[in-house]
Amino acid sequence: MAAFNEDLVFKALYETFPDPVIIIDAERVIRSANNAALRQFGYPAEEFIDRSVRLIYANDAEYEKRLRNRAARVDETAARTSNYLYVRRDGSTFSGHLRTTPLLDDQGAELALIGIIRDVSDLTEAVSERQKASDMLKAALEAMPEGFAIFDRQERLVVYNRAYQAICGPAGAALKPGITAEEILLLARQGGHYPDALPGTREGDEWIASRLRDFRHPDGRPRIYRYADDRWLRVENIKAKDGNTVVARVDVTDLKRAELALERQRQELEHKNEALDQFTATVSHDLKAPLRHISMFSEMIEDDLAAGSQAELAENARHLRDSVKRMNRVIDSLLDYAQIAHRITHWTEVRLTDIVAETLTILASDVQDAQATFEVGDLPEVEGDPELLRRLVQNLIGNAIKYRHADRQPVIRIHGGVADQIVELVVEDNGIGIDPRFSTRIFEVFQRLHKDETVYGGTGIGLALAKRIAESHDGSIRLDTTFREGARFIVLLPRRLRKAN
Amino acid sequence: MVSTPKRLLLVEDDAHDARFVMRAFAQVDETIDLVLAADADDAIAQLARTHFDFVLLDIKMPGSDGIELLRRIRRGQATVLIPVIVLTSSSNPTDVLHCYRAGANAYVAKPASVAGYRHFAEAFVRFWIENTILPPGMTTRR
Repeated sequence: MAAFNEDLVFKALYETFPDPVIIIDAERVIRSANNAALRQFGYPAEEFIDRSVRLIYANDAEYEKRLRNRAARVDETAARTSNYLYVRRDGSTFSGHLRTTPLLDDQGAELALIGIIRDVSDLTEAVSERQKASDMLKAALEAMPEGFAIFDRQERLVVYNRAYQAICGPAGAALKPGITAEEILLLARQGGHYPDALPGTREGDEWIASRLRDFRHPDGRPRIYRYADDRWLRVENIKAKDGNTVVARVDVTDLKRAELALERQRQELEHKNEALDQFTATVSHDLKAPLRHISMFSEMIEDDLAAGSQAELAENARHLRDSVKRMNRVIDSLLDYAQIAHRITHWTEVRLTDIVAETLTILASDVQDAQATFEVGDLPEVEGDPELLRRLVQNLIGNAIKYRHADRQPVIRIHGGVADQIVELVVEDNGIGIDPRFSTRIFEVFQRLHKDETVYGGTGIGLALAKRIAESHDGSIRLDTTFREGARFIVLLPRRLRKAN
Repeated sequence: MVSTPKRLLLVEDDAHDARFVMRAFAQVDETIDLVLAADADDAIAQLARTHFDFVLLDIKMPGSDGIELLRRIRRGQATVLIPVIVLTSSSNPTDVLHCYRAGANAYVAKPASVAGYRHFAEAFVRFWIENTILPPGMTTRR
């Protein structure tokens, strides 16, 4: 194999090698450079050889970096760790990946260093472009309000944004690449993040299992889950082609709340409609009855006149008039009831003590007739419409007097208090009481339990009115069915209807 | 066909309506013994005290007191078979259905004229008292 001279082969290879090759000695002086090197750096051989290798480095910092790296024997196989900024004769610079091989003598002492410098400016640029794109993507991910994360085939977290971290709640602080989806779910559950999966409940175990099922085998349909602090999140898991799972979380609390509010409104409306149906049925009954009577009595008067009979004439005429009066009362009550809602105009601080005192003055003659005794305790103040509240109190006290027991002297107790910004007003008597079965019906319009109007009077609107007034103050009224001595009504009103401004 | 005078319990809270009914029956058949109960409790007390052949029951709309009384009558051993004729001012189909479900035997809307009440009384007597085909379980004997 001596057909060709090896030295010639190596020389040819050296001269035609496409990457610049530079050989320096122990003093770091350039001793040789191939054509590619001279071309790359733009020097004629005589201006390049015998110069310090410092010549090709763009600045002192780059050169010192090179010296440090050489002393530390960094891995030169990767461009990342052995990349320097070089300078051409004309001052222009480029990035070069330097790989070196020492030339050693028999004793292992270094004679020279062969360096191959590959121009990687295109690559460097590409890398920096990619870095920029990646930074932008990351910034966009961080900025977007939706929680976003990617899990690998082993269900380990790879990437996530800040929103995702926030959404993970108590598990947020523990997020790091490598944590599994199940670990995140369990951590968040332990921290009370899922109202539907409270720690230590079987329903919670099932809930977590179903969440994991959806994560592992997503069916492409987003689901909405309840999170702590009454928040709702739309959870979407997407299985990517590469086996990764992309998860997206969107806070839909506002939407969900709107939906719930709408549902509440719908139900409220339904109740109102039912109440209205009930109301119209009752009202038409109570208006039709006296009308029918009027028609009947006038017919009877006609008959009496035709027959020339005087016996019942006066009585029938009286009944006729009574029916008209009754109808009048019904209509007045109705108007009263209907107008309540529109009458609430001025809210002031109302002293219930004053209200009760006024009421007792108004009812003075009834009180005297009934020989009723009153025990009035300390009463709180409340924000509301004084006129309406007076009518509420008047209706309750009026009832207490009206439905007294024939066998005992009426004693009516009025007391109250404030707890948690709710004012309580209690009116109780020792009268005939109310059957607990009727505890809700008594508050409906025209529901009289005692039919004989001549004994108890009234059109059956008093308690309906009281209820309406209480409700117009965002309050409530109820019959205490546990009280057996007589009737006890409890009115609850918010201390303040509106926030002080 | 001669039979003993019938006893009829009228449950009616409205004094005027009660008067119309009593007047009409008095004109049609004065042998009928008509007793008035002004409310459900009164009616129960009357039924417990004596025998009645029929109950004429006002069902006030929309409260359920009349219906509730009807159910109690149907639950009571002594009153389970008494024909109950509902007399009411409502002609709402739902209410009619409610009444039959609760055990009413007949349902009549309150007449709006003196003649109407008389016709009702006449029809009542003809259908319920003179009719030989009696509802099952009912006898003409006291």
